[in-house]
Amino acid sequence: MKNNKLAILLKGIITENPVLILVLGTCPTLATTGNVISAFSMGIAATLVLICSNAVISLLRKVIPDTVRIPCYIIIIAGFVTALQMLLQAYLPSIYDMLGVYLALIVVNCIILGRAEMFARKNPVLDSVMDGVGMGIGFLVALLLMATVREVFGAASFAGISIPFMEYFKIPILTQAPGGYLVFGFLIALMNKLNQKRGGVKKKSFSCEGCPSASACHGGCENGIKEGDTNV
Amino acid sequence: MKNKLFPTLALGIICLVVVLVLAAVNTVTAPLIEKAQAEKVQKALAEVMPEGVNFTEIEVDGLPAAVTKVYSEDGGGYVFQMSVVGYKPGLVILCGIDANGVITGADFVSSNETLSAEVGLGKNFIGFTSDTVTVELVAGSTAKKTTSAYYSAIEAALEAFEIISQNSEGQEDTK
Repeated sequence: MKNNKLAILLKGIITENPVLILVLGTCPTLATTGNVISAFSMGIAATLVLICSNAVISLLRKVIPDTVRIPCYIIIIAGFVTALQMLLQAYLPSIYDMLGVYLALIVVNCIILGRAEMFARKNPVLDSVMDGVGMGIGFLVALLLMATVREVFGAASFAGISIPFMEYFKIPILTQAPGGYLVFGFLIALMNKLNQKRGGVKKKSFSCEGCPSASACHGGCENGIKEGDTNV
Repeated sequence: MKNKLFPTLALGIICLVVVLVLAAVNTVTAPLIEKAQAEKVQKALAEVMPEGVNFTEIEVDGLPAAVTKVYSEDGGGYVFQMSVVGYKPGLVILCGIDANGVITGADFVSSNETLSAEVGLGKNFIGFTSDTVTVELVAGSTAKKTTSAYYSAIEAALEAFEIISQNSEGQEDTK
């Protein structure tokens, strides 16, 4: 029982890291990792919303009708995000200004809606909270890792504190959007390499049902047959 | 019927609960947000008019449409808040003009567009008057729509200052 909860928690941080393995929440990841403080703020804000929304959606999972579950999830998530916006604007206005539009965009963050749909609606409250904590920490760690690389090597500072000896070696493009993509790519590659040692990332198998290429492919992709092969 | 009624009811109840929770949070945070915004405005006013003291919001009729707020200060200067359209609407700019009609500073208050080099545009206008300010001041930037909007905001501020000055001169003549 205890191990099960720990496994749910660790899954979000390492084996199913939402940013580096599932490649979800890419927009805030790229946008807020220019400096460590904004990355930390975004990570904490998203984690709080994730935990609260997972808990409430899990609590209401037997009440919410299947046909309107997505609108219900979005209303619940939007409610938490709006409340968080008000609280930040009142108590931490500098953080509110720093995150800007990305704070409101937490409503449509795929990690939060994804965990509601894939986990919270099928599991009890405590497990859903643990999943929220794990995924939130995973998101936060990925953001901090990326922001550290971008700020230290791109702006020669850490959390706004200047690092004088890095001033001569800084690579300014890392603080720009192309640098963000570059660091993101390298971190995903690094995560894949580390995961290979642990047996690799499990590839999920999808059936041909609903695939737009099904009529041309005839299941070829599943069997490793390349496009253009005639022996299908 | 039940299949349609229950989902509608469930969604309605969830909306209602969320609205009630948000109303409660708003009751607690609204005064604090108002206070924080007032402090932010005072800070922004002091930035565009560093020597200004005691800013008071005043209402003046007949100003250009772009001017949304006017603050007077004890030394006879004014700070104008303009809302103009750059790439998107909502480009809000503050401009301070002292009693002699000289621009003391200009800055963005808020915008809905991605600003880069335009952030520092305001300092180009410091020391200029309505006679000396020209479009060349902002022509160096590549973001034409934002810079053009910035220029139009400064022009509106100078025009508003002229109107207020003329009004006060007229009042003195009447006395």
